[in-house]
Amino acid sequence: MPPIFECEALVKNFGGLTAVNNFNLRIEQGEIVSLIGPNGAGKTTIFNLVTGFYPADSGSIRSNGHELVGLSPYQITQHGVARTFQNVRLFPNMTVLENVMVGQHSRSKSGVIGAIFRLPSFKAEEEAVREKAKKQLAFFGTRLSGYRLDEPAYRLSYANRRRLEIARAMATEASLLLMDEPSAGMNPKETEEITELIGQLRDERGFTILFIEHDMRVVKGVSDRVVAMDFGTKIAEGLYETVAQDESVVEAYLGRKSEDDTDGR
Amino acid sequence: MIHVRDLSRTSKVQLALKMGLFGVILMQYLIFVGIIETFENRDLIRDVISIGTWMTLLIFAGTGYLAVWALERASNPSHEEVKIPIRRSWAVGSGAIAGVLVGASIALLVIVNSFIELRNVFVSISPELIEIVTFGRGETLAGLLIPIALATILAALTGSLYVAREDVRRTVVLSVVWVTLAALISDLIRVSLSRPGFPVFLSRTFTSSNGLTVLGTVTVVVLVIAWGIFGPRIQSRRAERIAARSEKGQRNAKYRQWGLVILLLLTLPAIVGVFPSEVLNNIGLYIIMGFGLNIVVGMAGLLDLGYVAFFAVGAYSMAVLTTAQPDIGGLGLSFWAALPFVIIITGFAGLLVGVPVLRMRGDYLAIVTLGFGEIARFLALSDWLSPFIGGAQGIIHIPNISVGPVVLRGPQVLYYLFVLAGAVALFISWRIQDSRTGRAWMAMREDEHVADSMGVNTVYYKLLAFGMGAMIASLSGALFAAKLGSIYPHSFSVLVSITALSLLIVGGIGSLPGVIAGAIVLVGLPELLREFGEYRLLIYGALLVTMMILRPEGIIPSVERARELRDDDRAQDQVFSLDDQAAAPSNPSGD
Repeated sequence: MPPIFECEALVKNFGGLTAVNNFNLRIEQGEIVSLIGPNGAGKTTIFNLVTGFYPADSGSIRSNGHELVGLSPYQITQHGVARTFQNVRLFPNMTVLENVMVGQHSRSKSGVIGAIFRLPSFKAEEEAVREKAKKQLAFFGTRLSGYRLDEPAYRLSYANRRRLEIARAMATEASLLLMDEPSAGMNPKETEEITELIGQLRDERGFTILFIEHDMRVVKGVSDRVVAMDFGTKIAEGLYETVAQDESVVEAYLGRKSEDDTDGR
Repeated sequence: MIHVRDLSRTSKVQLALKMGLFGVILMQYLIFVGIIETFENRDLIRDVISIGTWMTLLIFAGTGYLAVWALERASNPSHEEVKIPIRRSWAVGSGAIAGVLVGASIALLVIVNSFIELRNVFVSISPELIEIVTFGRGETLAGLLIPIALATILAALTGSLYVAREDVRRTVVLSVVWVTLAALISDLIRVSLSRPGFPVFLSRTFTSSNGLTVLGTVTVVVLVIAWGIFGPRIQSRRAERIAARSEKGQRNAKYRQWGLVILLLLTLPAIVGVFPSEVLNNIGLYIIMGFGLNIVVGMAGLLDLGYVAFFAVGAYSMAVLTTAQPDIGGLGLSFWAALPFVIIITGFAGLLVGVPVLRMRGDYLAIVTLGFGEIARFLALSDWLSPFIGGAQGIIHIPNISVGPVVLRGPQVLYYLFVLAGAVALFISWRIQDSRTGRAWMAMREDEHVADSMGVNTVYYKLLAFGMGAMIASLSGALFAAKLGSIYPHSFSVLVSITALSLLIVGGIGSLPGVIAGAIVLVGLPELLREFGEYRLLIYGALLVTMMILRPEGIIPSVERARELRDDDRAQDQVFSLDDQAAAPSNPSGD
């Protein structure tokens, strides 16, 4: 059986800059993998390549054996890869519920005719989509339920917007979630919660997760495996403890000949 | 505890002067573009006061009102708290200060004009105009003093009106508004009242060929006062009665209300007569277009400035398919047989425009679609296509629409087709709004990239929006062709696109009732006020600017638009990361 996610010899150049150079990664079903590296190492570029925002120059990306290179973002979502963004990008003027319902788009199929005539199939599907969306939001407890369902997304607090973005990605029913710095901008308590949440996403909802993170407490707390990048290439891979000790990782974060702690902060 | 910002005397005077300056600018602007003079020929109240003079007085009075309003705002920093009343002396004073300025600006204009012949440059500054603004005194000392005195007194009066009792204030303001409106549409009232079956004295007593009669004016004022006294009582009693009913009874009351609205809608042409029905049909034309454009701009967020192209394709394909004109090679189909083809053809035209602009957004899209709109008109005009669609001569002999053996003729009958088509367009828009398709469009409008990564096929949905928008416009175009019986390229100018877009903005983008309100204001009113004809664009511009300042969400806003524009705490982080900016090569139009 093919791995849930695999990329081979991935290359991406922006003009003269090689953002991603011969990058390989394999993720098995149910793994939580974190992607670390200093700013500009190419982490988000990897995400953008995987989700089809940029076309890869060469190499191959496969999800459950399906080739993703060359597909549009929406097709990639249909193949079971969903993402969140480094700077939260919601549909600000749509309600919380609608945001999540849009996530269900590729798992539903009613069209204009059904909508105009309110065919029974349309009604049933609409109801199912609504229920599923509520179910995803219920994952976050009371924070995104009740009256908040009909609030526009821009009214949410920052942390709730991050949660909503995750709920929206969950609603795509993807098997692999790509999360770009889920703890960015959060306070220590919220960061702790996010760490726990990533674990729950796998344990309770069965998602496989690849996430970019700068906060080493999150990385340490939840990842099965850590991949460190610098200058577009993988410089280390393995358990957190191994990677954290790795000389090239230390060097990437702190410069040569440092013997300080390697938390990167 | 209420916080009052205590303004110093100087800052109060400064504020009044500032508002006076607004009045000056408005006054002088209307004088210089010639509106005051144009409207001198039309009376508000027959033989008593002309609309031009009325406008001048309204600006005098309005300046005083504005000055006190500004003072109140400045003294009450927070709009939520209990308003601190302005002292009467200051209200009168502010009004007077502002009013003096407006009056003085007129005096200055008269003085300057007596030394330099302004008319050589500004054609509107004619001797007649000087007569109007000096209230008949011309270039005399009295002519200089009267506008100043009148402006000061009127502005001071309205200033004190602002702080007067709420019911007095409301009655006066409403009287002025209703008298103005009634006078502007007095022709319409007159036509509606003078018809077989109605006693002749009705129309003669209240209206004349030139504005309201004195009695008509008094009637309006009396009605306003009567409503002020009895209205609240009637309303509260009604509300009590409805509240006392069971849930079912309340629902029935609601149904009855809707029934009344529909009944009114269906009997409207019979009530108002022939000419107003024609106006209603023109409004209908734009309401249908408005619904179509609302799908493209309001829901899918694709700013289309060339919407007239689809209207033209609809009209031309209907014309070609139905005309009996021999040299065009028309097919001579009936309206109903041609309609499905018209819709399909225009839908394809929508796709055709959609394909090249798929990768464009915002300003780029607007400019390119603007170009498409003009291309459509030039194609219609071109010699190249003239064997098929008539070139500059257009297409004539488009048959009337008939239902079975009955030929639908005249605006009062065609009206029902407009209502039907409008209802269909409304129904479609309303049903789609709250569906998977509608959500996909909205998501695309909010953030195209993210919508894409959430599984929305943006190419498909963009084309769908263009196609649906075009198909709805084709209904409008088809009715237009059949209504006139002949079509010419010049009917499809860029002004149609601009009107359609303006009515969306004025009504409230994304709001379906807003489309109707916008069309009534932007299409209906100018048709009724013939004199406004040449100032139509000017008024659109002024109206749009005013709306953007005072009520950016439109007359009847959609719920989300209102939220978005009124909420101060809107703080979605729209800063894109470096990585997203690097996406530029793959989407040349950028954000």
